Amino acid sequence: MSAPTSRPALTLLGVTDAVTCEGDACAIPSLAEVTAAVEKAFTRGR
Amino acid sequence: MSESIKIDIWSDIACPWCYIGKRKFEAGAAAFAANAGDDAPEVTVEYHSYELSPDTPVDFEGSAVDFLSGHKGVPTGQATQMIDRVTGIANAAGLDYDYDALQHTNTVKAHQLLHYAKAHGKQIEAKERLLKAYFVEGRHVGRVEDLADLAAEIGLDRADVIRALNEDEYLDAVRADQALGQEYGIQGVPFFVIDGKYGVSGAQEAASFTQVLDQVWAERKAVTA
Repeated sequence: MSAPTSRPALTLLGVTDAVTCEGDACAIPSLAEVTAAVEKAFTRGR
Repeated sequence: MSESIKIDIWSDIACPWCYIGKRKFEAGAAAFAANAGDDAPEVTVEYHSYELSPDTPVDFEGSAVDFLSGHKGVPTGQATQMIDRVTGIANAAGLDYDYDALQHTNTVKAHQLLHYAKAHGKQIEAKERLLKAYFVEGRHVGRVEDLADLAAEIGLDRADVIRALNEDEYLDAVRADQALGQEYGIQGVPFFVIDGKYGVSGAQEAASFTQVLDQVWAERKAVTA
């Protein structure tokens, strides 16, 4: 069996703290995620 | 018109930020096209499978608050507060989330339907239909018959969808997406891969997506100039 191919690393663009879902905890987002999103939206809206 | 910009998006159906991120991306892409004018390259989108909670049963009995308090140990009051907040954020993005009606389920069959739809030229329609069904309409997106109903609503052959889902015809395609996501190092969704070399993580603001597309397009123009 051949070794799995390795893709070149992606260059990350955009802001680095945007909310994501990770694992089954995000079947519903965590309070921290929601709070961060609200805070971010509020800050950017100023 | 220039060659299209390809956006590969990893996401799940049961992912509140994925639907919000989808709307933000669409707004950002629309602004990019408007700014670029007649010379704007086409932006093509392909969705890829990512299961946040593959061990979730197809039929979960209970509400979102039940799920949070019973399975995650979150106090009921806090769970309600969390849901209210994400519902508010979704609402600001033009999405009317209804967590009272939402039905938790396993999404692997829904992912297979997305691949079936892609094979029949309707993946974008299927993605939107499934997200709306899950978050807005309280429809079940885990059972074959319910998925076939949704597929028929966007013009797919209901009987053939039932056949394909029962035979797990596209399960290998789902697993291939997940393997590719792992190769890219994707650990959370939504995750956007642009032209196979740039990554954008999370439900970014629309302006961020516009900025990223502007940058990618500017780099292309510089290379071809």
